[in-house]
Amino acid sequence: MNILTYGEIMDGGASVFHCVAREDASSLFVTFSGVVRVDNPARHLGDLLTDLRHILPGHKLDKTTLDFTELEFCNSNGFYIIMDIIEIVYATTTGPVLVRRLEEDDWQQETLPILLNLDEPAIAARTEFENVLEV
Amino acid sequence: MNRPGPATRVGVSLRVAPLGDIRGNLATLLGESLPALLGMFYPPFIVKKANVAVTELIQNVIENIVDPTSELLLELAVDGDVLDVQVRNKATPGQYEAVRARVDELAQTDDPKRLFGQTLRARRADQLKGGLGLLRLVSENRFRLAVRYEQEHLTVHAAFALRGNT
Repeated sequence: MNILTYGEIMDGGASVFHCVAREDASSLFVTFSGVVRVDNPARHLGDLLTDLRHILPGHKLDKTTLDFTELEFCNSNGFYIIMDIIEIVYATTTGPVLVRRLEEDDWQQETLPILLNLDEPAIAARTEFENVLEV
Repeated sequence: MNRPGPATRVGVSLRVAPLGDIRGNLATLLGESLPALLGMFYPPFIVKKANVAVTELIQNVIENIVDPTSELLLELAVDGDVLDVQVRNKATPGQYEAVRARVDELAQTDDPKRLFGQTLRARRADQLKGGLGLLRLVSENRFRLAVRYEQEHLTVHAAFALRGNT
């Protein structure tokens, strides 16, 4: 498993959110972990977006997994940055995208599909969900 | 999740004044600590709803303070029937009208998710900050919203009916 890039949000001196992009055998894994509660998350994750835009096109990636099961909370100030990351991943990869999400989480069940822009047929056609029970 | 017998009644009331003294992320602090208390008595999906409601409503107040000497009042209550969150703060008539218009719009739509999606994309295209919290409470968490304005103070009331939804 090769780490391509990562970004994190620091709040009060502690790391509260991680987004890590990994590549393994032509598969891309993007994991979202922690909480997004800060006022302006884009300020913390600008370099991650730049990296994703530049690094992903240089890799042959046949399938992608977006894993939200370690994302404990996202306030509405975090929606845009999640959309930014998702958009870059869909634009710079081809093939199916598996979205792993928590089964009993209103944000991941109700709002995440809107952030993914599943109304767009091309995106919907590439996307499958795996619902995971929280331990 | 069905629980036999009457549910535990939990109520919390918090006042903070003057608002100008707030240092740090009050929305985060309350959004994490109060739901953690509820977690002693209620299942995670109720706790998560409380977390979202407290976080978004307090965030709205913090981002729109008109008088740093004024007070914030948060009241959270839950029993077997309803999860109820109210936030009261000093606001201008214009702020009240903006919130009331959003609440009215949500009450009138038959598809809150579509309204949420449209608003999200329009605001993102214009790089507008905020404005999504109330929509989220309805579209995502199925809260009922009400708003009132008395003596220069705005109260936003979010209620989620547990009976029939648990």
